[in-house]
Amino acid sequence: MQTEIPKLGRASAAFALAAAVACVFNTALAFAKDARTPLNNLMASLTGHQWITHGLADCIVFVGLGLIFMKTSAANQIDPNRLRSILIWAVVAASLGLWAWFLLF
Amino acid sequence: MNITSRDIILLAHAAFGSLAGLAALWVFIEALNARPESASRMRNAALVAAISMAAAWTLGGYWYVHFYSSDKAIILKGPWPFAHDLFMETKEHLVFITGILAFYLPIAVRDELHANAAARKMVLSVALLIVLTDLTVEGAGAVIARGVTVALQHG
Repeated sequence: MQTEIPKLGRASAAFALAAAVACVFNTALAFAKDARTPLNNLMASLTGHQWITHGLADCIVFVGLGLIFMKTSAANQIDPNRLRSILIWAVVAASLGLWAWFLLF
Repeated sequence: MNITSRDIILLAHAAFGSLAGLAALWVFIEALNARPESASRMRNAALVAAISMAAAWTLGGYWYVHFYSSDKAIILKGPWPFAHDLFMETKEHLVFITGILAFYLPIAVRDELHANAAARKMVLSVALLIVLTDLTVEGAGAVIARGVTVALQHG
């Protein structure tokens, strides 16, 4: 008899995947604006400060993708343990990536 | 005694950041032995973590945008320029990761953790990541503050 693996709730799974993507997006945007002054200036011009634009962009990615994944049930197709690993590794890679970037460049 | 609004904002920022970390730790401990009767406590603690993180984020952001430039100039002239170049630059972006996780936590605890091992492991992982990144951000804040002090002591 095969035991069924319990699934995460629809919202929980969707926003877990969205959080993983948003964390990686956050670090990628930090790299990009640090390397490209025009992007930094553009972000500053949008809200008055690049940091505010960065935070808003992260929130939009997290909430927007979370709602999309919830509607499409895309995240629910992924094994819950795999989804958890994706989130953990996304956070670890994004965090260490920030430290490495500002240490080395 | 002369405490300016600038000081109050900075201290409140650190206090709300610490509160968010403590609330996440509370969720972690509750989730270790999740029971139906602990569900509402856990949901409240997760909400406290998210709201405190939003407050820390807003206050810290206001302080960073309006007041940090003078501290930055002091740090960069002192013997600890890495307090800005490494610690502040990393902190100002790492805090977004802690924030995203804190905003996710109240969603994750809506599942029935006592009956769903996968949901319980997810909450344990997210709460622990919040605690670890929150402590890192708090520590970076201490290094930045020390960077200003060391620069001023150096003259």
